Amino acid sequence: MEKDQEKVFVNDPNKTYGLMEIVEGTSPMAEKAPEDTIESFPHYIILLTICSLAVTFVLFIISLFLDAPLEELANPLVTPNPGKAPWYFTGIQELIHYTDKPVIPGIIIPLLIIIWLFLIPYIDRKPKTRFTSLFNRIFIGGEKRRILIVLFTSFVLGALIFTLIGSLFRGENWNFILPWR
Amino acid sequence: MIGEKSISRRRLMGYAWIGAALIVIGELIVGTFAFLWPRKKQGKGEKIFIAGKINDFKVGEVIHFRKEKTFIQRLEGGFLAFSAICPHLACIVNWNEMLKKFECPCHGATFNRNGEVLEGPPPRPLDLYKLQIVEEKLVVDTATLIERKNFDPSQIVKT
Amino acid sequence: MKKGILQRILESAVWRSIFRTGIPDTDLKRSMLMYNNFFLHIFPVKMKRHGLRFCYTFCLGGISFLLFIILCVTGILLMFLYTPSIERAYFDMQALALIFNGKILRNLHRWAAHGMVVTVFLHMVRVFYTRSYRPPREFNWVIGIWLLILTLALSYTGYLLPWDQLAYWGITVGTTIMSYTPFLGKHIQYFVLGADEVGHEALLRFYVLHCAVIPFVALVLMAIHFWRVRKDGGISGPL
Repeated sequence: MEKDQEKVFVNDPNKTYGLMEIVEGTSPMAEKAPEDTIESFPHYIILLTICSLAVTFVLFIISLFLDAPLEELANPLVTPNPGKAPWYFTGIQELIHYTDKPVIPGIIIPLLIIIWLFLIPYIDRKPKTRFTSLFNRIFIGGEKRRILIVLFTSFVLGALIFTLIGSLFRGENWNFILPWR
Repeated sequence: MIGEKSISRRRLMGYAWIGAALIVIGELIVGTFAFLWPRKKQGKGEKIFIAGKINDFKVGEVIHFRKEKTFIQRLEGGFLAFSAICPHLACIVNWNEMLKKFECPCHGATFNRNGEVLEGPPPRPLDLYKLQIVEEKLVVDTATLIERKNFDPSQIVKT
Repeated sequence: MKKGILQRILESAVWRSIFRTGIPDTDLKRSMLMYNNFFLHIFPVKMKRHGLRFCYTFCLGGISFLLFIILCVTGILLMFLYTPSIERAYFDMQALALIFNGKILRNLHRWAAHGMVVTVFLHMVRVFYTRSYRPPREFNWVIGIWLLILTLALSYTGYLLPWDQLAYWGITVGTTIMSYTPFLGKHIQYFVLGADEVGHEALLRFYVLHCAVIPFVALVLMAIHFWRVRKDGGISGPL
C-alpha cells in the first residue's frame, strides 16, 4: 500500500516533465484532510455494471412470470366493479371517497403537497432574519428539523397507508374487504 | 429635460429588446395552445330516443337502457328518466334490484330510487333527462340534462 | 514477438480513433478513460470511498435512470406494433401476445414503469432523510420533484393506451377530477381530452404526450439533474 502511494504519478512516455517554478501560496487543499478517494474506473464502474445487470435480470424474471393485465375492450357503457385508478392514485381515490367535494383531495391536496415539497429546501436553511427564524421554527423545528421530519414522515406513511387501503382493501362498490378472504 | 428621471438610451433599448422577446415568446405559447385547442365537434345528430310505450313499464320498475346511459323508472304518478352517469366522477351507476338502490362502482356512492344520495361522495342527486310522453310513448332527450338539488314530486312526468 | 489479433485490433488506427485511451493500466489512463468517454464523462474520475457504499444512496437514482432507459428501449419497440386509434389499439395489444417476445416486451415496459414510480419516490424519500437538498443543492431537489411529477404523468398517459376497461375508466375518472378545478376545470378537461368525452382525440393526445413530449422534457430535466449533481459537489459529502 505504501509503495503504491509513492508511485501515484506515473510519467507518460510521450511527454516531458520538468520543474518550472516554485510558487508560494496556499493550496486549495489547505486545511483539508486528504480525501479518501478511489478511482471510478474499476471500482465504481464494476459496481454500476453489476447493479444494472441485477436490476435488468430481476425485471426480466418478473416479466417472464407475471403478465401485465389487459382487461376487456373499453366500454363506455359499463364501469367495471370496482373501478379502480392506477395503484399510485388509489390513495387519492380513497380520499375522494370520503368527501363530497372531489376538488379537495383531487386537486388542492396534491397541489399543496407539491408546492410544499418544492419549498422544503428554501425554508430549511440557516435563519438569517427574525422572519426566517420564525418561519424555521414553525415549519422546520430547529437544527434537528423535528417538525419537518414529522411532517414528511406522516406524508410518506399517509400516502402508503391510503394507497394500500385503496388498492387492496376495497372491493365491489368500494366496500371495505380483507384481501386474504 | 422632460421629467425628473430619465433613462439612458442604452437602457431604453434594452427594455425594448426584452419587451419584444416577451411578446414573441408569449405569441409562441398562445399560438401553440390555440393550435392544440380541440376543434368544436359537430352535434352527434339525434340525441332523442323512444324508450317504449307507457304500458310496457310496471309501477316501481327500474329499467336500464345501457346504450343510452339512461334509467327509466315508473312511479305511482308517472315517470322519471335518470342519467346513468354518476354526478360525482362520471362512472356508470348500476341499479341494485335487491336493495332497491343505485350503486356507483368507483367511489362507493349509493342513491335511493328517486336518485337522492344515500351515502358516499356525490355532490348532488342523479341527473334527470328531459322526458316527454307523446302518443302514449316515452320520448327521452339525452341532450337536455336537468341537474337538481334534491328530489321533488314535481320532477315526475305525469302519465 | 508476434502480435496477437486482439492486440492488432487494439493498436489499429480505427480503434485508436474511437477509443483514444489504451488499456487503462495506469492511474492516468484510468482517469483519461473516464474523461474521454462520452458516456462515462458524467461520472467523476475519482470518488469518495464511502460514496460507493450501498446504504449511502441505495442506488435509487441510478436504478430510476436505468428503468427509464429500459422503458425507452421497450417503448420504442412497442411503438412499431401499436396504432393509436380506438378501433385498433386494443386489438394491437391482443395481437402483441401472439408475436415472438411481444408479451414479454409489454410486461417489461409495464413493470419497469411501475418500478420507476416506486424508485423515484423512494429516491425522493432518501434524499429527504439524508438532508441532501441543502444549499447548494436546493434547485436540484426542485428538478427532482418535477421529475417525480413527470414520472407520474408518463405512467398515467401510458395507462390509457391499451384502451381496455381499466384504461378507459381510469382516464374518465382522472379527467373528471380535473374538471373540478375552480374556474378553469371544464376547459382543462376539454383541452386534455380534445373532446367532450374520452375518445379517439384523447387517445391520440395521450399517445403523443406519452411517446414524445413528456419523455423529451424528462430527458432534458434528467440531464440537468445529473449535471447539477456533479456541479453541486458530487453524490456525497458537503462542498
